[in-house]
Amino acid sequence: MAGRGHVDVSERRLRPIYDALDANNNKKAIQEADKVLRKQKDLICAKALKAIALLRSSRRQEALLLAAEVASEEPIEEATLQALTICYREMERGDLVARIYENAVKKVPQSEEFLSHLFMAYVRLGEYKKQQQTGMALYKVAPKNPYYFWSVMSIVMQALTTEDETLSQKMFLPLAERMVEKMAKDMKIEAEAEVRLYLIILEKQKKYEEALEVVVGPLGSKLISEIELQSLMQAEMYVQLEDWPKANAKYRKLLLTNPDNWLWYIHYFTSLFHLVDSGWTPSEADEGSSADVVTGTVDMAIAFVEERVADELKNGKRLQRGPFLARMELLKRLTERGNQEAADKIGSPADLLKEYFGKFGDKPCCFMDMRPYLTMLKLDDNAKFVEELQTYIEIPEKAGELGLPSDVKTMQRHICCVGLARSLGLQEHLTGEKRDELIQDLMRRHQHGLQFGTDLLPTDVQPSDSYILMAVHIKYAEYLKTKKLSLLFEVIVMLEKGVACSPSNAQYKLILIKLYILLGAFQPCKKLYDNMEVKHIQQDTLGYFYSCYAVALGHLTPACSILSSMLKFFSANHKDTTEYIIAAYKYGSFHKIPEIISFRERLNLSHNYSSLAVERMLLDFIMETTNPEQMRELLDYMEISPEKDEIKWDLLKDNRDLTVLSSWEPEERELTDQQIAWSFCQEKQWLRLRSLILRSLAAVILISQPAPMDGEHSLSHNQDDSKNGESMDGHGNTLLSLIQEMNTHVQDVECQPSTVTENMDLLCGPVPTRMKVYLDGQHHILLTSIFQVAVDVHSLGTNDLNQSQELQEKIARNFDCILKTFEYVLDSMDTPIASPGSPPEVYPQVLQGLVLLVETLCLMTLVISQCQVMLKPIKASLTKKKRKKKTPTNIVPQVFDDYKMFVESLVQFGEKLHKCLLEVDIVITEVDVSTLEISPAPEHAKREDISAETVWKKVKDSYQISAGEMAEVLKQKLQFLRTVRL
Amino acid sequence: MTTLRPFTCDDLFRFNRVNLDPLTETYGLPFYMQYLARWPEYFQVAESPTGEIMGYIMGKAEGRVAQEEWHGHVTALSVAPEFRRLGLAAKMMSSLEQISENKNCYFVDLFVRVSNKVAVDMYKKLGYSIYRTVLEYYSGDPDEDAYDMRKALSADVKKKSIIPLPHPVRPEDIE
Repeated sequence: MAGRGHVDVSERRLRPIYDALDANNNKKAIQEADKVLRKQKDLICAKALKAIALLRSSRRQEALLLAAEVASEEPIEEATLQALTICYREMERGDLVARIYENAVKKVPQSEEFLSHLFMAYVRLGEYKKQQQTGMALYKVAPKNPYYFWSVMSIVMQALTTEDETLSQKMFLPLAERMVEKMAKDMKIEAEAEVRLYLIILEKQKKYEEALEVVVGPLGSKLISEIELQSLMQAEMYVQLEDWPKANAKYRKLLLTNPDNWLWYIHYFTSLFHLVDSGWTPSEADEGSSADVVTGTVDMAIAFVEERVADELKNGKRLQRGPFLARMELLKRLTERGNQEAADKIGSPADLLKEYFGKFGDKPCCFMDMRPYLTMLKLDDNAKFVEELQTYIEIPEKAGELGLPSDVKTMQRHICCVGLARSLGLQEHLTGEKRDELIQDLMRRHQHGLQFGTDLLPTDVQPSDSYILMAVHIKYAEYLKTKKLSLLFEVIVMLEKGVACSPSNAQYKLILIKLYILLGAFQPCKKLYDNMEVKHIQQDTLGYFYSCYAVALGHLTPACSILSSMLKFFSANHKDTTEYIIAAYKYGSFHKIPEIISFRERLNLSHNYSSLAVERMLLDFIMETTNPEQMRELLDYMEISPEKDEIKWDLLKDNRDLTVLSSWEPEERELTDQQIAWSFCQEKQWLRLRSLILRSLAAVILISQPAPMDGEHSLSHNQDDSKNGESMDGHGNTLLSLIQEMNTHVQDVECQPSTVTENMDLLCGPVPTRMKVYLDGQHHILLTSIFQVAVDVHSLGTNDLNQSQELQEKIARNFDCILKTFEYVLDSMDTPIASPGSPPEVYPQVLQGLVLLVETLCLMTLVISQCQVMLKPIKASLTKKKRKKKTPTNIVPQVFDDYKMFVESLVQFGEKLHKCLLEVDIVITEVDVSTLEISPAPEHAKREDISAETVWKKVKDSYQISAGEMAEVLKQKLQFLRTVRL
Repeated sequence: MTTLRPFTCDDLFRFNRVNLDPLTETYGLPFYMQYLARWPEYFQVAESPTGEIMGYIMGKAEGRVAQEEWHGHVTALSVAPEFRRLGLAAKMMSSLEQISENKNCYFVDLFVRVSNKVAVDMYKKLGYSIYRTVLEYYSGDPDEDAYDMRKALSADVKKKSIIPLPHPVRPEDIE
């Protein structure tokens, strides 16, 4: 009783701390905890709760110490353990959570609860071996099946993650198998999850015979969660075993139950051709009407597929596409195999395609369904083929005028026809006049087709939307050839009109974003992007349309919030997904565990993640620092170590979704895998350059301000290099090798062939990086030179100044090089962003160049401010010496003068650049887009509220914001620069 | 032509054509992970021959067996615009019903915006009826009511689960 009373008292005393924590009032929680501890020193739960409150008040170090104090008492009360767990988890110190439960288990080895907490703590850490042991310990304490299989799964995870394949095959998997076998022998297997785990183990060892036995045996009857799971697994085993007759029979049987499943047809055809190649002949046993009949000859397969088609036609219900597509697929495969005789038995490709169009032409997916089979057509037949399709459409033609469809289905068929014509290349050789007519016609049809969507909700896309998209593709292809600005404006106007009629069409918006970016205008994209509600994982897959351009086009304020909201998604991923790995153990979804783990990894290794993080840190340095000390604080906060490259280059993942845009383009303008691979390679090259700049900057800060500030980061530095001098030299060397690396990297990039990048401006393809603008602008030379200056200034501090003539000259040379390069770059940027002539032109790359130049000047300011930090004590000691000796010497080292001159020149350049930015405003207000030759919109499709003028206004506003924001940040850095005189 | 198969984590990287539809919510990772970890069989994706994601259905089994409330629930069902009017939603619904039958559920239920007439009509065609109205279930400007629609499964022999409630309920009153 007494004990119980004690607990109640404690609980009552702790209550106010919990309440304060719940109310997010950390200050009060600390006060309440102190109050309790004054009364009752040994109530360590109060200390654990106080640690949480400290942590949440950004007093991490104190929290860590206090929590360690609690942990050292090896608590076993639930409340204390819980509080410590929360505290450590918020610190992202899952390892310490495991330690406290290890201690608790030592004290109370029979506790199912502690052991199960410990197991989960190991899951969070991915400590599979310890998971395995803890799972077994749990099973011994409480012999429940799930615990046993947690342990088995932990062994499987060791097998899957070890790099030693022999270990996996010879030790882990056989061990896991024996463990499950034992349960099977004892008839102790209960759940479907356990059977599936058994199958995973067997499959990983390629023991398909054994797996098949399990599937068809008594345990197989437990496989019921998914429809037909047992049959499907059986069929998969036959494929793995290359038992083609059985696989063929099984998939045939499955197709009888569902003739619309594509994957089954594929397996069916694969097994068929294996049988054909092996010369399989039907034996009498196969002739019967048994359900397991094998159809191992081409004739039998044709008959089978034709039967499915016939059955489907007899069915009377809505037709399924499966049998019809399967017939085309079989034809294609036969043709590819050169079996023309058999192919002819099915029919001609054109006839099959026409029949398919006749049946499914009114479905929006018809074009996509047909496209893979168009290659079967003969080139000279293409025009005739499309012409014949048109006869299916039956649009009544009025005298002298093209007929317009009377219902949505007819229109859909027409859309499909136009798409096919484009894909077959029939629009490639139209004369300019014919092409314009076609575009006009498509626009008119779009307008006409809107009547079929009047009943739709605003959240639905309009069925006639594809017309605009196709017209856009045609016009954009023309723009690619001619680069005429008016065409770009026309495309944007068409799409803006499209959005006005169909506000939910994401295709319109994504292309618009892309085109505005092409024009260098970020501002209009923001609204379009927000409007699509792209969030969470879509930020990884679709962010490439948008996120990096806020920085690239100088919209720095929105850039900060865009980058940080995206980074939040990535940084929460680990925690978010790990919880559900635990859930998967709890609910026995073992087959999902490796899947969730590799998903977490794929996000963690996302190229976007690294790239956003690097850009965000560079941006923070540029925007947030106005003195050298701030830079040091920011660096500590960011925890960058210049000597360590945190990015796992070889493992980076390209998570961009490059399939999201619809395309009807002919094969030569389809985005290829090779282009995607190249674009990713370029993204990585750009990221490497940016990451080198960031690390070099970090190294500069650390050589000039080596004394550690507070925070774990610098603490660990302090421990690692007990002598500051050593660590300073270390950073100096690091900086040298980073400069070297940057030079080599730039050389590699410059040496690569440019041919591969040529076709990178496809409407559906990725946009090239800023690398070219960067290299053209000589920014790498500017930055490596200033970093070299920092290295040399640092050496000045460690050498005798009187003997440093050479060093000083080197610094002077680099100053000189920077100033000359600057002058050259600024001179070569005499092209204004727009030329107001008639017709006017805009040069968006000028904007990108200006943005980079501002950025480089800002970075240079930061580096030079650190040089000042290093030079100051040198100068001071000189002055002191002079005073002591009282013999005034006139020799002031050259470097001080050079430095002074350099900073002054830099300020002058900055002022010139500032003027350039202000001039952007003047130039763009003079542009009059009404002199652009815009082809007239058809009379009925005119919307006066959307025109080249309104589009230009958006672009102009965006340029103004870019120039304004750039001017602002430059002004701030120029002020900073004026304070770094010696 | 469709391949209906279990949804995998990697499908999250490719479901944009479906999820860019304004009525299809893109949830935070924990939401999808919870379903994948707990009810993986209830999360199915339909894939086209060329590998595009056509649509997906996400559901779960919940409720107490003793009260005959053990049921399948459709959490999300969506088909990309270009794959509509192919009967895909019906196929995915029927698969979810089959899975729920295998689990001896009494009924399947779902929530739908009262304004989404196309969806309500479709569910009616699939044998669902309005069990009750849930007031202001969907937050927005303004909030919108939901229909709770149900279809009885074979375990509910007397079809007790689908007798309509006479009065609307508030979101906090539903389990």
